Amino acid sequence: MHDPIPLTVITGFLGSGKTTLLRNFLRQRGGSGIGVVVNELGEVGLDQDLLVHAAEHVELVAQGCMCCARRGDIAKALHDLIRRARRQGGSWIEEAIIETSGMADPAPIIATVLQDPWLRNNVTLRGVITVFDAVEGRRNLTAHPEVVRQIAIGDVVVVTKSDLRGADDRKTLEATIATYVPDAQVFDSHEPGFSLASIIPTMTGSNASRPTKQIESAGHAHETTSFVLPLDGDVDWPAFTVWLSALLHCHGDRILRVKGKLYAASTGKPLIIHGVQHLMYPPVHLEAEPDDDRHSWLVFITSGLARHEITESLDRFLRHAPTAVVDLPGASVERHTQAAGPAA
Amino acid sequence: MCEVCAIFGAGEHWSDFGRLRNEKFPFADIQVYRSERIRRLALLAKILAPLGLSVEDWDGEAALLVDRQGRSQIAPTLGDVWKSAEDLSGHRIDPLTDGFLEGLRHA
Repeated sequence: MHDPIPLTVITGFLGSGKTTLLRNFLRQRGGSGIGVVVNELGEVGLDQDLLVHAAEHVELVAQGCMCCARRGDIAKALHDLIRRARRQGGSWIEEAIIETSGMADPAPIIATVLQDPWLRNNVTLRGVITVFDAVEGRRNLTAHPEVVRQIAIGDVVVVTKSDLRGADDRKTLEATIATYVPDAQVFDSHEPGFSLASIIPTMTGSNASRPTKQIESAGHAHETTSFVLPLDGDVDWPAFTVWLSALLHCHGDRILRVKGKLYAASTGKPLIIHGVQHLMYPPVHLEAEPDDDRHSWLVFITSGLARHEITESLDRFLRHAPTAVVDLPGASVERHTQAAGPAA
Repeated sequence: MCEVCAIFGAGEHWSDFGRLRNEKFPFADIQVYRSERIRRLALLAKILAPLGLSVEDWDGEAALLVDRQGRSQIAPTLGDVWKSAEDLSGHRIDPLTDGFLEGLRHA
């Protein structure tokens, strides 16, 4: 029985510098034990034992939206990679990287990894790194909806080409990215000491801190809105999950990303939730810190869905849900949650 | 339910109580899991009642949705409940509308 192999997805628009970043990472790590799946083989130029080319192919499921589409090419490539590594005499694989094509929406890749029965048991999704070009990035954000999706889904944003003439300064870039992703972790690949090898192992959601940069930002290109929703008190998990699953079912195609840190009333320990459109990752568990403020919060990045619609819906639901089932076992969870006003 | 040990599973869906525990076999507090699950089914029953649907436990793992004509669908996870409910009722379920709370208000 093998432990699941950690998988990192590197995405970013055409020419943003994904391959250079990947090549540097492989060089830093000596290349061994890392399986790589690429969509654009011609550009890679990587001397990897464990390199698989996946000809990009998106399989749309019946009546499904893009986020629920299956990337059969990715499933097959990861399967080949892992089976090859596990064959006797094959190079051992400690982690896997997927470099998407520049026009790819990462959502179907995540859907494939979370839903494929074989992959679910053999691969664990560590996170998504979005590569953002300091010269063309801001222009691409307004011109190409793919870039918004890539930024929204990324757990970490790595800015490239900041050394080139015409590059936007760090402050401007951070402000732009934060209007789309209020809790984005932004790194500059030209900063002294920058190393993808040191960032990737930390991408487990456990470094989540309460986003403070931006409460709400709306009116971007492609109708993107992002906002932080603070929650008072511990979360009534059964009620919260009923509401969120209904929301994702009905409006998942307009929710580019939902993530948050929650204290469930029944466990008292914090957990991190992540979702991309209709799909939710398995929650990540954290140990409670002694100086923890026990504040729960959610971040939504939506397309054509306003903050007040979501806030009012959650608030209404959580006000009615505990009293509706008060006569049932387990209804003694006293602290229920209400959506609070904007954080200071 | 596990056919060998007769222990109710803790669920694999992100919303299941088992996912609240960072353990492979989170059965130490299985009673809490089961009471949380009953509360969730009760909430679903209240929400879906105005659509003429009843919601019951099915084998400790899934939800059984039945309409007034006796037609039924099994929803293996919470995420499947909404599609089954829409299939059986012919109505769209939208938590952003006030109608989503109708069943809870009359509880």
